[in-house]
Amino acid sequence: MVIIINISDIYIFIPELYLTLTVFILLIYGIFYSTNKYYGYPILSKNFGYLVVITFTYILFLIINTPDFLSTYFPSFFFFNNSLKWIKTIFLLVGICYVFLVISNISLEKLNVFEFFLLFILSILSIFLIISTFDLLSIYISLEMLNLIFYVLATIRRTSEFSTEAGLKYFILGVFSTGLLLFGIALIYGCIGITNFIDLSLFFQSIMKEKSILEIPTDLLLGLVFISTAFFFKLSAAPFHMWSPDVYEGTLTSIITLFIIFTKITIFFLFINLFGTSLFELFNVWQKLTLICAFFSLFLGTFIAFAQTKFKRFLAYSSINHVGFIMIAVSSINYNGFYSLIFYMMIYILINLGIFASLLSLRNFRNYKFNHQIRYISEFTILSKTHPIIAFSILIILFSISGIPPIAGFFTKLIVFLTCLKSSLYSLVIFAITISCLATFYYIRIIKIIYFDNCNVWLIYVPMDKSKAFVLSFSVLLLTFFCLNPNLIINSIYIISTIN
Amino acid sequence: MFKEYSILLTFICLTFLLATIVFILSYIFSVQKADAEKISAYECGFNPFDDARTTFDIRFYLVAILFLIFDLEVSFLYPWSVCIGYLNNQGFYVICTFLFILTIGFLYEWFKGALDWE
Amino acid sequence: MSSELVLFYCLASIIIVSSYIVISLKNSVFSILFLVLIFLNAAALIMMLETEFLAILFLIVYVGAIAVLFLFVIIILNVKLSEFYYSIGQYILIGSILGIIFLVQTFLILDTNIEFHFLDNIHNLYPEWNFEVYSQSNIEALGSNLYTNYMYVFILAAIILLIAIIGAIVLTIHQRGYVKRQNILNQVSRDFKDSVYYINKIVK
Repeated sequence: MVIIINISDIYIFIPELYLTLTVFILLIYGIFYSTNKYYGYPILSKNFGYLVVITFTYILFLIINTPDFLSTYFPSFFFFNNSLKWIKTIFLLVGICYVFLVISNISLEKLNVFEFFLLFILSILSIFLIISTFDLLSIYISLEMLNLIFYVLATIRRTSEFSTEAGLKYFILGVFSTGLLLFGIALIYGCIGITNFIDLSLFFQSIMKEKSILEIPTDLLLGLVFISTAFFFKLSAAPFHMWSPDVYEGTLTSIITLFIIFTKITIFFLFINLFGTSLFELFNVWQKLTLICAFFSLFLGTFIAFAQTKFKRFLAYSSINHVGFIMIAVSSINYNGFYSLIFYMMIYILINLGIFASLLSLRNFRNYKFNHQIRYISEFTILSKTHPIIAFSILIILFSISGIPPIAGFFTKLIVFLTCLKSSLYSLVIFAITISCLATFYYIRIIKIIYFDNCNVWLIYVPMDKSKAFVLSFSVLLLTFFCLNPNLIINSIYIISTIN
Repeated sequence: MFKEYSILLTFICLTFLLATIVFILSYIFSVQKADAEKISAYECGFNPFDDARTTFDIRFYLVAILFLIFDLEVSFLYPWSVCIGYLNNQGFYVICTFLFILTIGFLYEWFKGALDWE
Repeated sequence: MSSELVLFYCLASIIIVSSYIVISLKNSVFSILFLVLIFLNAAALIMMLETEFLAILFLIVYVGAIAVLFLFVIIILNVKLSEFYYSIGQYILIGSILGIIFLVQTFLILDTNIEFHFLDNIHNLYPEWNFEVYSQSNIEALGSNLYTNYMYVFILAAIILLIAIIGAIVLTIHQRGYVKRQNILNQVSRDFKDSVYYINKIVK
């Protein structure tokens, strides 16, 4: 038999190989030290956090210095692109920020398993594999890897029934959506026998030259519908969003940052890879699906969030709203939509880093043993007097979410709307603008609660630590002063979107 | 056409038939006069104090899951053992990598104490 | 009306009926047993597709491990009879509407001229020696592809198994400390010369 892989495969794969080897070494290090009687069974969770930061800087170095290839490797399961380089860099930087956010909460939450950060590194590995996948089969495998890690992370607080219930819901519904994905892949494979993206795009190009959409075998369209349904499930886009408020409320706040930031961005990239490059000829089909989901997400995300009193459920509906906006950008992807998509995702990452930096630091401090996360929005009340800077940061971030100029959120929504107008989706733009105006109500209601409400009993919070303050200031300053010098972000987005 | 397995199908059908016949015959020909006192659980003549089942140890479940994982590893080894004749060096090193990854998992569970039973 | 068609319809109907029984029984153990019946019939169906390795793998993995795990869950939760009783009347209308829509969609989408390709050569009484000698069996076909062409997904499957091990242990391990265990290494490496030693202590 001929040797299938050659040295250039491994050369491109070096960052992922290094990541895998680091995972193995850290695993061995973790178990040999944490079960060692001589060292007194040390708790290695924070240690692993700092080791993760070091690993990520090394991998950053490796990724930035990868030479620019453009090809598919490992008999076309894996592809590499220049824009992938920068996307991976962004993921690593966000990962480092995440570690900074979470590292002091680990000891406050008494989460003493060292595997927490190990699973985090594995999830970054699986994210790298997902965004560079080029075959339907490897979509399934790498997506399952990410999902499996997140199922474990969702229930890592196994002494709390609330958390295990949320993890169980997430697990069952996630497995169900993976089943739908597999069914769609099986239908496409059963119809045409092709799983590779290159072959799929060639097939559809040749088909669309001769036939119209109505003559495409219905198995293919059904497979496409199932695959996109599975993706919408994972993204918690309406009408498949039912699991996300319960799951987001139940799991630990440290892990929800992981879910909200990483899952959505990864699956959007995967969606663009699959539907934007290989199934691009069927654009009219999947554009309608995305438009329907965008409409529902905006509608449901706005109107149900009016009734929320708990903060994490509110964040879940707010992220459904965001997903609706990103889907507007996705559905207008043939006219420079890619640029607006990446821009929105960048600002989405910054917004969520900021929100979670402030949320993670607001721990109700009764004595040194009892400090628990705030749960209700009404517990935000005297934040402006006790923690004025955190209150101001939350103000900036909420302005950014609702799209008030000159904060960066306004520009993202502007550019999304402009690309949408350019691909002549006029009624959707009008609807989205009305919805954003309605949504501004409850964001400003939170600001009113922070700044203008009085209450008799003031809550004392645990003071914010340095690493969270760093991430919070990073995100808030970038959001605020984006308007003065947008080149910092715009150039990187330009590189990513045009090289693709 | 898969003619070789048809005899297996005959065998399974006959087994199923035999088991059903025995079951049905024992149901028909037995004398069943069920009484509330006869069916209830017996605990030395008293009414049962508590449920007869003890709390279940989670270690059984962990053993079953670990069995499943290593069973899957072995099932990946079956096709390799048949085909290693014509897969050259690459086939060998691929399975070495596979087994190496799972050995690391095995070390992890060994030193975590999943293989101990008190 | 060939034997394969009859067999296919028998197995498929048993699967459909058993799957309804699984979700409608109150006794959980009985529904697991019918689940095992479904797996067995599915394995027989797969074996009709001439992929016998996949069928046996179904039996080993699904029946031998997954159904066992289901039973463990039922034992752990100590479910006697399903206490969750809902009246079917409130769901029958919307359920039947959705079911009919799904059924109609299925028949619209799938062509009615489905060809069962494994039903070709039904009059073949003699074995095709060319096919028997020069083709690969199912295991060989899987193996020759899995470790060369699909090497990438194979290694990823190994990493998924590793994640499963880590996940299972993180979520279920309950290390009770202060359990006195035997440390065989310490016991075996005892040296006679070190077992008694002299402490220089002046006692007044």
